[in-house]
Amino acid sequence: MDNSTYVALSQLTALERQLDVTANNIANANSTGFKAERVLFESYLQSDDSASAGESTNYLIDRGSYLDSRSGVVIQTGNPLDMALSGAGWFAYQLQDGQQAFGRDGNFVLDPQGRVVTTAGAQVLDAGGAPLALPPALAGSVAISGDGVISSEVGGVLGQVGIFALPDRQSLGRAGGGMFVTEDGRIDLQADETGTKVIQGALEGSNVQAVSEVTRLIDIQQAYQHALNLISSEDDLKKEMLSRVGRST
Amino acid sequence: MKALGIAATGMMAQQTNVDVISNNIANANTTGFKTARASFTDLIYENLSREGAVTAEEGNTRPVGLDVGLGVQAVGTVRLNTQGGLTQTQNQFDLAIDGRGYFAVNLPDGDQAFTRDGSFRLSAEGQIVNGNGYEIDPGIVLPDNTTKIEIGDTGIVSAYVAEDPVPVEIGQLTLATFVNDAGMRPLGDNLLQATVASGDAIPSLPGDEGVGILRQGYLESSNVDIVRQITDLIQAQRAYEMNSKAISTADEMMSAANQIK
Repeated sequence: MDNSTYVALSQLTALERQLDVTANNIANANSTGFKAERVLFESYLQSDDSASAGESTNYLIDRGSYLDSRSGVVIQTGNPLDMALSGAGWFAYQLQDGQQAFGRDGNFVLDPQGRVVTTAGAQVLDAGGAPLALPPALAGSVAISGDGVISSEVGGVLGQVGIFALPDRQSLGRAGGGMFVTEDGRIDLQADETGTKVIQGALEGSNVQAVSEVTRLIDIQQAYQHALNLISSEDDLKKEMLSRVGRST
Repeated sequence: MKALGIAATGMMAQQTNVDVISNNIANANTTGFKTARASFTDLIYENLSREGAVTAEEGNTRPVGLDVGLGVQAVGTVRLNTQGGLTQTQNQFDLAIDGRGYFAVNLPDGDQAFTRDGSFRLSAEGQIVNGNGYEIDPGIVLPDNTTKIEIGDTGIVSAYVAEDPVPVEIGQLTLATFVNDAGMRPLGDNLLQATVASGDAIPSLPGDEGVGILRQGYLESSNVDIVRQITDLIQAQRAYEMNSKAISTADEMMSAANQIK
Protein backbone atom coordinates (compact mmCIF):
# COMPACT_ATOMS: atom_id res chain seq x y z
CA MET A 1 0.00 0.00 0.00
CA ASP A 2 1.22 3.49 -0.57
CA ASN A 3 2.42 5.33 2.45
CA SER A 4 2.87 8.84 1.24
CA THR A 5 -0.36 10.14 2.77
CA TYR A 6 0.72 8.78 6.14
CA VAL A 7 4.21 10.21 5.83
CA ALA A 8 2.71 13.62 5.25
CA LEU A 9 0.24 13.06 8.06
CA SER A 10 3.07 12.25 10.49
CA GLN A 11 4.61 15.58 9.60
CA LEU A 12 1.33 17.43 10.07
CA THR A 13 0.86 15.99 13.56
CA ALA A 14 4.39 16.90 14.55
CA LEU A 15 4.03 20.41 13.15
CA GLU A 16 0.81 21.02 15.06
CA ARG A 17 2.60 20.09 18.23
CA GLN A 18 5.48 22.36 17.34
CA LEU A 19 2.99 25.17 16.81
CA ASP A 20 1.59 24.53 20.32
CA VAL A 21 5.08 24.68 21.81
CA THR A 22 5.90 27.87 19.89
CA ALA A 23 2.60 29.48 20.92
CA ASN A 24 3.46 28.67 24.54
CA ASN A 25 6.87 30.30 24.15
CA ILE A 26 5.27 33.41 22.72
CA ALA A 27 2.61 33.51 25.44
CA ASN A 28 5.42 33.46 28.01
CA ALA A 29 7.48 36.21 26.37
CA ASN A 30 7.08 38.26 29.58
CA SER A 31 7.21 35.49 32.23
CA THR A 32 10.00 35.95 34.75
CA GLY A 33 12.78 33.35 34.40
CA PHE A 34 10.95 31.47 31.65
CA LYS A 35 13.03 29.20 29.40
CA ALA A 36 11.83 28.54 25.88
CA GLU A 37 11.04 24.98 24.80
CA ARG A 38 12.09 23.47 21.48
CA VAL A 39 10.70 20.40 19.79
CA LEU A 40 13.07 17.69 18.66
CA PHE A 41 12.19 15.94 15.42
CA GLU A 42 13.45 12.59 14.38
CA SER A 43 12.82 10.41 11.39
CA TYR A 44 11.36 7.07 12.15
CA LEU A 45 12.37 4.36 9.74
CA GLN A 46 9.82 1.86 8.63
CA SER A 47 11.33 -0.95 6.63
CA ASP A 48 9.00 -2.40 4.07
CA ASP A 49 9.51 -6.11 3.44
CA SER A 50 7.64 -6.14 0.17
CA ALA A 51 9.73 -3.35 -1.27
CA SER A 52 12.99 -4.02 -3.04
CA ALA A 53 16.19 -3.72 -1.04
CA GLY A 54 17.23 -0.22 -0.13
CA GLU A 55 13.76 1.22 -0.13
CA SER A 56 12.19 2.20 3.10
CA THR A 57 9.80 4.80 4.34
CA ASN A 58 10.70 7.61 6.68
CA TYR A 59 8.05 8.89 9.01
CA LEU A 60 8.55 11.94 11.13
CA ILE A 61 8.03 11.84 14.87
CA ASP A 62 8.54 14.48 17.49
CA ARG A 63 10.73 12.58 19.84
CA GLY A 64 10.84 15.07 22.62
CA SER A 65 11.27 18.67 23.54
CA TYR A 66 14.30 20.29 25.06
CA LEU A 67 15.07 23.43 26.90
CA ASP A 68 16.64 26.51 25.43
CA SER A 69 18.98 27.22 28.31
CA ARG A 70 20.24 30.62 27.26
CA SER A 71 19.89 33.31 29.89
CA GLY A 72 17.11 35.84 29.62
CA VAL A 73 17.70 39.56 29.69
CA VAL A 74 18.24 41.09 33.12
CA ILE A 75 15.53 43.64 33.97
CA GLN A 76 16.17 46.17 36.73
CA THR A 77 13.23 46.44 39.13
CA GLY A 78 14.74 48.12 42.19
CA ASN A 79 12.96 45.75 44.60
CA PRO A 80 15.59 44.75 47.20
CA LEU A 81 14.49 41.10 47.31
CA ASP A 82 14.40 40.58 43.54
CA MET A 83 17.31 38.46 42.36
CA ALA A 84 18.52 37.65 38.88
CA LEU A 85 21.07 34.93 38.26
CA SER A 86 23.93 35.61 35.90
CA GLY A 87 25.49 32.27 34.99
CA ALA A 88 24.54 28.62 34.91
CA GLY A 89 23.27 28.19 38.49
CA TRP A 90 19.65 27.72 39.54
CA PHE A 91 17.49 28.54 42.56
CA ALA A 92 15.83 25.66 44.38
CA TYR A 93 12.32 25.85 45.83
CA GLN A 94 10.06 23.81 48.03
CA LEU A 95 6.53 23.75 46.62
CA GLN A 96 3.39 23.73 48.76
CA ASP A 97 2.95 19.97 48.31
CA GLY A 98 6.45 19.31 49.67
CA GLN A 99 8.03 18.71 46.27
CA GLN A 100 11.35 20.32 45.57
CA ALA A 101 11.98 22.07 42.29
CA PHE A 102 14.56 24.07 40.39
CA GLY A 103 13.84 27.39 38.71
CA ARG A 104 15.29 30.76 37.76
CA ASP A 105 12.41 32.97 38.90
CA GLY A 106 13.88 35.45 41.39
CA ASN A 107 10.76 37.53 42.03
CA PHE A 108 10.78 37.03 45.81
CA VAL A 109 8.65 38.43 48.64
CA LEU A 110 8.42 37.68 52.36
CA ASP A 111 5.48 35.79 53.77
CA PRO A 112 4.09 36.83 57.21
CA GLN A 113 6.46 34.38 58.93
CA GLY A 114 9.45 36.03 57.31
CA ARG A 115 10.15 33.17 54.88
CA VAL A 116 11.34 34.13 51.43
CA VAL A 117 8.79 32.91 48.86
CA THR A 118 8.09 33.40 45.18
CA THR A 119 4.99 35.34 44.11
CA ALA A 120 3.32 31.97 43.48
CA GLY A 121 4.08 30.91 47.08
CA ALA A 122 6.96 28.44 46.68
CA GLN A 123 9.57 28.65 49.43
CA VAL A 124 13.11 29.49 48.42
CA LEU A 125 15.86 27.20 49.72
CA ASP A 126 19.09 28.53 51.21
CA ALA A 127 22.60 27.26 50.54
CA GLY A 128 22.08 24.39 53.01
CA GLY A 129 18.84 23.25 51.40
CA ALA A 130 16.53 24.56 54.16
CA PRO A 131 13.79 27.15 53.55
CA LEU A 132 15.31 30.63 53.62
CA ALA A 133 13.93 33.05 56.21
CA LEU A 134 14.88 36.60 57.15
CA PRO A 135 14.12 38.70 60.23
CA PRO A 136 11.09 40.71 59.02
CA ALA A 137 12.24 44.03 60.45
CA LEU A 138 15.44 43.97 58.42
CA ALA A 139 14.15 42.52 55.19
CA GLY A 140 13.45 45.90 53.59
CA SER A 141 17.03 47.04 53.80
CA VAL A 142 19.09 43.98 52.93
CA ALA A 143 22.10 43.86 50.68
CA ILE A 144 22.73 40.73 48.65
CA SER A 145 26.26 39.97 47.52
CA GLY A 146 27.23 38.30 44.27
CA ASP A 147 27.43 34.86 45.88
CA GLY A 148 23.96 35.18 47.42
CA VAL A 149 24.92 36.18 50.99
CA ILE A 150 22.14 38.35 52.43
CA SER A 151 23.23 40.87 55.02
CA SER A 152 22.06 44.11 56.52
CA GLU A 153 23.93 47.00 58.08
CA VAL A 154 22.55 46.40 61.55
CA GLY A 155 21.97 42.66 61.57
CA GLY A 156 25.13 41.34 59.93
CA VAL A 157 24.82 38.21 57.80
CA LEU A 158 21.21 37.00 57.74
CA GLY A 159 21.43 34.04 55.38
CA GLN A 160 22.50 32.89 51.98
CA VAL A 161 20.26 32.13 49.07
CA GLY A 162 21.09 28.75 47.54
CA ILE A 163 22.52 28.61 44.03
CA PHE A 164 22.65 25.07 42.76
CA ALA A 165 23.98 23.21 39.76
CA LEU A 166 21.38 21.47 37.66
CA PRO A 167 22.38 17.79 37.52
CA ASP A 168 20.75 16.84 34.23
CA ARG A 169 18.69 19.63 32.83
CA GLN A 170 17.01 17.72 30.06
CA SER A 171 15.61 15.02 32.32
CA LEU A 172 13.62 17.44 34.48
CA GLY A 173 9.92 17.78 33.83
CA ARG A 174 8.25 21.17 33.69
CA ALA A 175 5.62 21.78 36.34
CA GLY A 176 4.41 25.24 35.38
CA GLY A 177 5.17 28.35 37.40
CA GLY A 178 8.70 28.24 36.01
CA MET A 179 9.42 25.11 38.07
CA PHE A 180 11.42 22.08 37.00
CA VAL A 181 10.77 18.90 38.93
CA THR A 182 12.02 15.33 39.00
CA GLU A 183 9.74 12.34 38.93
CA ASP A 184 10.01 11.54 42.65
CA GLY A 185 9.86 15.17 43.76
CA ARG A 186 13.28 15.11 45.44
CA ILE A 187 16.15 16.96 43.92
CA ASP A 188 19.82 16.42 44.43
CA LEU A 189 21.18 19.73 45.69
CA GLN A 190 24.72 20.38 44.63
CA ALA A 191 26.21 23.81 45.06
CA ASP A 192 26.92 25.56 41.80
CA GLU A 193 30.65 25.84 41.10
CA THR A 194 30.58 27.82 37.90
CA GLY A 195 30.70 31.18 39.64
CA THR A 196 27.08 32.19 39.10
CA LYS A 197 26.44 35.72 40.34
CA VAL A 198 23.32 37.05 42.01
CA ILE A 199 22.23 40.49 40.85
CA GLN A 200 20.13 42.24 43.49
CA GLY A 201 17.17 44.40 42.49
CA ALA A 202 16.80 42.78 39.10
CA LEU A 203 14.89 39.93 37.53
CA GLU A 204 15.83 37.56 34.76
CA GLY A 205 13.29 38.03 31.99
CA SER A 206 12.07 35.34 29.66
CA ASN A 207 14.66 34.10 27.14
CA VAL A 208 12.06 33.94 24.37
CA GLN A 209 13.32 35.81 21.34
CA ALA A 210 10.54 37.47 19.44
CA VAL A 211 12.14 37.36 16.00
CA SER A 212 13.08 33.70 16.10
CA GLU A 213 9.66 32.65 17.44
CA VAL A 214 7.79 34.57 14.76
CA THR A 215 10.04 33.23 11.99
CA ARG A 216 9.45 29.78 13.44
CA LEU A 217 5.72 30.40 13.10
CA ILE A 218 6.24 31.19 9.42
CA ASP A 219 8.39 28.07 8.95
CA ILE A 220 5.77 25.89 10.60
CA GLN A 221 3.02 27.32 8.46
CA GLN A 222 5.02 26.81 5.25
CA ALA A 223 5.99 23.26 6.12
CA TYR A 224 2.39 22.53 7.05
CA GLN A 225 1.24 23.85 3.69
CA HIS A 226 3.80 21.68 1.89
CA ALA A 227 2.65 18.57 3.70
CA LEU A 228 -0.96 19.41 2.88
CA ASN A 229 -0.01 19.87 -0.78
CA LEU A 230 1.61 16.45 -0.73
CA ILE A 231 -1.60 14.92 0.59
CA SER A 232 -3.78 16.66 -1.96
CA SER A 233 -1.55 15.73 -4.91
CA GLU A 234 -1.53 12.17 -3.65
CA ASP A 235 -5.31 12.41 -3.52
CA ASP A 236 -5.41 13.69 -7.10
CA LEU A 237 -3.21 10.79 -8.23
CA LYS A 238 -5.49 8.28 -6.59
CA LYS A 239 -8.54 9.88 -8.14
CA GLU A 240 -6.85 9.75 -11.53
CA MET A 241 -5.86 6.14 -11.00
CA LEU A 242 -9.39 5.13 -9.98
CA SER A 243 -11.00 6.85 -12.93
CA ARG A 244 -8.57 5.24 -15.38
CA VAL A 245 -8.90 1.80 -13.83
CA GLY A 246 -12.66 2.29 -13.97
CA ARG A 247 -12.50 3.06 -17.71
CA SER A 248 -10.45 0.03 -18.65
CA THR A 249 -12.93 -2.47 -17.25
CA MET B 1 -4.56 22.27 18.00
CA LYS B 2 -4.01 23.96 21.35
CA ALA B 3 -2.16 26.91 19.90
CA LEU B 4 -5.31 29.05 19.73
CA GLY B 5 -6.03 28.67 23.43
CA ILE B 6 -2.38 29.09 24.39
CA ALA B 7 -2.02 32.30 22.40
CA ALA B 8 -5.30 33.54 23.91
CA THR B 9 -3.84 33.18 27.43
CA GLY B 10 -0.85 35.18 26.18
CA MET B 11 -3.09 37.97 24.92
CA MET B 12 -5.04 38.06 28.18
CA ALA B 13 -1.78 38.25 30.13
CA GLN B 14 -0.57 41.17 28.03
CA GLN B 15 -3.90 42.92 28.55
CA THR B 16 -3.42 42.59 32.31
CA ASN B 17 0.08 43.93 31.84
CA VAL B 18 -1.17 46.98 29.92
CA ASP B 19 -3.87 47.57 32.59
CA VAL B 20 -1.27 47.58 35.36
CA ILE B 21 1.11 49.81 33.40
CA SER B 22 -1.59 52.33 32.52
CA ASN B 23 -2.66 52.50 36.18
CA ASN B 24 0.97 53.27 37.07
CA ILE B 25 1.14 56.02 34.47
CA ALA B 26 -2.22 57.45 35.58
CA ASN B 27 -0.89 57.64 39.15
CA ALA B 28 2.47 59.16 38.28
CA ASN B 29 1.53 62.26 40.29
CA THR B 30 -0.34 60.55 43.13
CA THR B 31 1.16 61.21 46.56
CA GLY B 32 2.72 58.11 48.08
CA PHE B 33 1.75 55.85 45.16
CA LYS B 34 3.91 52.75 44.63
CA THR B 35 4.52 51.30 41.16
CA ALA B 36 3.01 47.88 40.59
CA ARG B 37 4.37 45.27 38.23
CA ALA B 38 2.39 42.32 36.93
CA SER B 39 4.24 39.06 37.38
CA PHE B 40 3.65 36.15 35.02
CA THR B 41 4.47 32.45 35.07
CA ASP B 42 3.90 29.55 32.72
CA LEU B 43 0.85 27.35 33.20
CA ILE B 44 1.03 23.59 33.75
CA TYR B 45 2.58 21.36 31.12
CA GLU B 46 1.08 18.50 29.28
CA ASN B 47 3.63 15.75 29.63
CA LEU B 48 3.21 13.83 26.38
CA SER B 49 6.14 11.56 27.04
CA ARG B 50 7.95 11.38 30.30
CA GLU B 51 11.63 12.18 30.75
CA GLY B 52 13.59 9.16 31.97
CA ALA B 53 11.01 6.61 30.86
CA VAL B 54 12.54 3.23 30.05
CA THR B 55 12.71 2.74 26.30
CA ALA B 56 14.37 -0.69 26.02
CA GLU B 57 14.90 -3.77 28.12
CA GLU B 58 18.59 -2.94 28.49
CA GLY B 59 17.53 -0.10 30.75
CA ASN B 60 17.93 2.69 28.23
CA THR B 61 15.94 5.69 29.24
CA ARG B 62 14.47 8.52 27.27
CA PRO B 63 16.84 11.47 27.60
CA VAL B 64 14.20 14.09 26.97
CA GLY B 65 10.46 14.17 27.40
CA LEU B 66 7.89 15.94 25.33
CA ASP B 67 6.35 18.78 27.32
CA VAL B 68 3.77 21.04 25.77
CA GLY B 69 2.90 24.04 27.91
CA LEU B 70 -0.60 25.38 28.10
CA GLY B 71 0.12 29.11 28.20
CA VAL B 72 0.71 31.80 30.74
CA GLN B 73 -1.04 33.25 33.78
CA ALA B 74 -0.68 36.38 35.85
CA VAL B 75 0.27 35.32 39.38
CA GLY B 76 0.20 38.71 41.02
CA THR B 77 0.99 42.35 40.97
CA VAL B 78 4.03 43.17 43.04
CA ARG B 79 4.28 46.68 44.45
CA LEU B 80 7.70 48.20 44.23
CA ASN B 81 8.21 49.54 47.75
CA THR B 82 11.07 51.91 47.12
CA GLN B 83 11.15 55.43 48.48
CA GLY B 84 9.44 58.05 46.35
CA GLY B 85 11.01 61.49 46.01
CA LEU B 86 10.25 64.08 48.71
CA THR B 87 8.61 67.28 47.54
CA GLN B 88 8.65 70.36 49.73
CA THR B 89 5.20 71.87 50.25
CA GLN B 90 5.76 73.99 53.39
CA ASN B 91 2.31 73.00 54.59
CA GLN B 92 2.65 72.22 58.30
CA PHE B 93 0.22 69.30 58.08
CA ASP B 94 2.07 67.62 55.21
CA LEU B 95 4.19 64.69 56.35
CA ALA B 96 6.48 62.42 54.37
CA ILE B 97 7.85 59.12 55.63
CA ASP B 98 11.53 58.86 54.85
CA GLY B 99 12.07 55.09 55.09
CA ARG B 100 9.77 52.16 55.87
CA GLY B 101 6.38 52.40 57.52
CA TYR B 102 2.78 53.50 57.04
CA PHE B 103 0.44 55.91 58.78
CA ALA B 104 -2.64 54.21 60.20
CA VAL B 105 -6.07 55.78 59.74
CA ASN B 106 -9.46 54.69 61.12
CA LEU B 107 -12.05 53.96 58.46
CA PRO B 108 -15.70 54.91 59.17
CA ASP B 109 -16.60 51.17 59.42
CA GLY B 110 -14.13 50.75 62.29
CA ASP B 111 -11.40 48.99 60.32
CA GLN B 112 -7.93 50.32 60.04
CA ALA B 113 -6.23 51.23 56.78
CA PHE B 114 -2.65 52.22 56.07
CA THR B 115 -1.20 54.87 53.85
CA ARG B 116 2.01 56.60 52.90
CA ASP B 117 0.11 59.66 51.76
CA GLY B 118 0.86 62.19 54.49
CA SER B 119 -1.23 65.11 53.24
CA PHE B 120 -3.22 65.61 56.44
CA ARG B 121 -5.73 68.32 57.34
CA LEU B 122 -7.76 69.42 60.29
CA SER B 123 -11.33 68.38 60.90
CA ALA B 124 -13.96 70.77 62.30
CA GLU B 125 -13.24 69.27 65.75
CA GLY B 126 -9.51 69.95 65.48
CA GLN B 127 -8.53 66.31 64.81
CA ILE B 128 -5.76 65.49 62.35
CA VAL B 129 -7.44 63.66 59.45
CA ASN B 130 -6.40 62.53 55.96
CA GLY B 131 -7.83 63.83 52.68
CA ASN B 132 -10.94 61.66 53.02
CA GLY B 133 -11.60 62.87 56.55
CA TYR B 134 -10.47 59.64 58.22
CA GLU B 135 -8.84 60.26 61.57
CA ILE B 136 -5.20 59.33 62.03
CA ASP B 137 -4.57 56.58 64.59
CA PRO B 138 -3.64 57.26 67.42
CA GLY B 139 -5.79 60.36 67.16
CA ILE B 140 -4.36 63.81 67.79
CA VAL B 141 -6.57 66.76 68.64
CA LEU B 142 -5.23 70.28 68.47
CA PRO B 143 -6.00 72.59 71.38
CA ASP B 144 -8.12 75.68 70.66
CA ASN B 145 -6.24 78.74 69.45
CA THR B 146 -3.33 76.72 68.08
CA THR B 147 -1.25 78.99 65.89
CA LYS B 148 1.31 76.51 64.61
CA ILE B 149 2.24 72.86 65.08
CA GLU B 150 5.62 71.25 64.88
CA ILE B 151 6.22 67.59 64.20
CA GLY B 152 9.65 66.17 64.93
CA ASP B 153 11.56 63.45 63.08
CA THR B 154 10.42 60.92 65.66
CA GLY B 155 6.75 61.87 65.46
CA ILE B 156 6.34 64.06 68.55
CA VAL B 157 3.65 66.67 67.82
CA SER B 158 3.90 70.00 69.64
CA ALA B 159 1.53 72.93 69.36
CA TYR B 160 2.04 76.63 69.91
CA VAL B 161 -1.12 77.86 71.61
CA ALA B 162 -2.18 81.52 71.45
CA GLU B 163 0.64 83.87 72.41
CA ASP B 164 2.59 81.32 74.46
CA PRO B 165 6.13 81.10 73.07
CA VAL B 166 6.69 77.63 74.60
CA PRO B 167 5.14 74.76 72.64
CA VAL B 168 3.09 72.08 74.39
CA GLU B 169 3.46 68.42 73.48
CA ILE B 170 0.08 67.13 72.35
CA GLY B 171 0.78 63.65 71.00
CA GLN B 172 3.00 61.13 69.34
CA LEU B 173 2.54 59.90 65.76
CA THR B 174 3.25 56.22 65.23
CA LEU B 175 3.98 54.20 62.14
CA ALA B 176 3.02 50.64 61.28
CA THR B 177 5.36 48.26 59.47
CA PHE B 178 4.61 44.93 57.82
CA VAL B 179 6.63 41.81 57.20
CA ASN B 180 5.40 41.56 53.63
CA ASP B 181 4.49 45.01 52.34
CA ALA B 182 3.75 43.55 48.92
CA GLY B 183 0.95 41.46 50.43
CA MET B 184 -1.19 44.46 51.45
CA ARG B 185 -4.43 44.98 49.60
CA PRO B 186 -4.93 48.33 47.89
CA LEU B 187 -8.30 49.95 48.69
CA GLY B 188 -7.97 52.99 46.45
CA ASP B 189 -7.80 56.51 47.91
CA ASN B 190 -4.10 55.83 48.59
CA LEU B 191 -5.12 53.37 51.31
CA LEU B 192 -3.89 49.83 51.88
CA GLN B 193 -5.30 47.14 54.10
CA ALA B 194 -3.50 44.44 56.08
CA THR B 195 -4.14 40.88 54.90
CA VAL B 196 -3.14 37.38 55.93
CA ALA B 197 -0.32 37.61 53.38
CA SER B 198 1.08 40.88 54.72
CA GLY B 199 0.87 39.81 58.37
CA ASP B 200 -0.44 42.02 61.16
CA ALA B 201 0.67 45.61 61.53
CA ILE B 202 3.74 45.96 63.74
CA PRO B 203 3.36 49.23 65.67
CA SER B 204 6.55 51.20 65.89
CA LEU B 205 7.80 54.73 66.37
CA PRO B 206 9.38 56.83 63.65
CA GLY B 207 13.13 56.59 63.93
CA ASP B 208 13.11 53.05 65.39
CA GLU B 209 15.54 50.59 63.85
CA GLY B 210 14.39 49.76 60.31
CA VAL B 211 11.57 52.34 60.45
CA GLY B 212 11.53 55.64 58.59
CA ILE B 213 11.53 59.12 60.07
CA LEU B 214 8.95 61.86 59.50
CA ARG B 215 9.58 65.04 57.58
CA GLN B 216 7.17 67.87 58.20
CA GLY B 217 6.35 70.13 55.26
CA TYR B 218 7.15 67.47 52.67
CA LEU B 219 5.10 64.96 50.68
CA GLU B 220 6.31 61.72 49.18
CA SER B 221 5.76 61.66 45.42
CA SER B 222 4.98 58.45 43.56
CA ASN B 223 7.89 56.20 42.64
CA VAL B 224 6.63 55.72 39.07
CA ASP B 225 9.43 55.92 36.52
CA ILE B 226 7.62 57.16 33.43
CA VAL B 227 10.32 56.21 30.91
CA ARG B 228 10.33 52.71 32.33
CA GLN B 229 6.55 52.46 32.11
CA ILE B 230 6.49 53.63 28.50
CA THR B 231 9.13 51.10 27.44
CA ASP B 232 7.21 48.38 29.29
CA LEU B 233 4.09 49.49 27.45
CA ILE B 234 5.85 49.15 24.08
CA GLN B 235 7.04 45.69 25.07
CA ALA B 236 3.56 44.63 26.16
CA GLN B 237 2.08 45.82 22.88
CA ARG B 238 4.63 43.90 20.82
CA ALA B 239 4.09 40.77 22.88
CA TYR B 240 0.35 41.15 22.30
CA GLU B 241 0.95 41.38 18.56
CA MET B 242 3.16 38.30 18.62
CA ASN B 243 0.40 36.31 20.30
CA SER B 244 -2.12 37.44 17.72
CA LYS B 245 0.36 36.30 15.06
CA ALA B 246 0.35 32.84 16.64
CA ILE B 247 -3.45 32.84 16.51
CA SER B 248 -3.58 33.85 12.86
CA THR B 249 -0.94 31.22 12.00
CA ALA B 250 -2.99 28.51 13.70
CA ASP B 251 -6.09 29.80 11.97
CA GLU B 252 -4.50 29.77 8.53
CA MET B 253 -3.12 26.26 9.11
CA MET B 254 -6.53 24.94 10.07
CA SER B 255 -8.18 26.63 7.15
CA ALA B 256 -5.55 25.13 4.81
CA ALA B 257 -6.23 21.70 6.31
CA ASN B 258 -9.92 22.19 5.60
CA GLN B 259 -9.21 22.93 1.98
CA ILE B 260 -7.18 19.88 0.99
CA LYS B 261 -10.25 17.96 -0.08
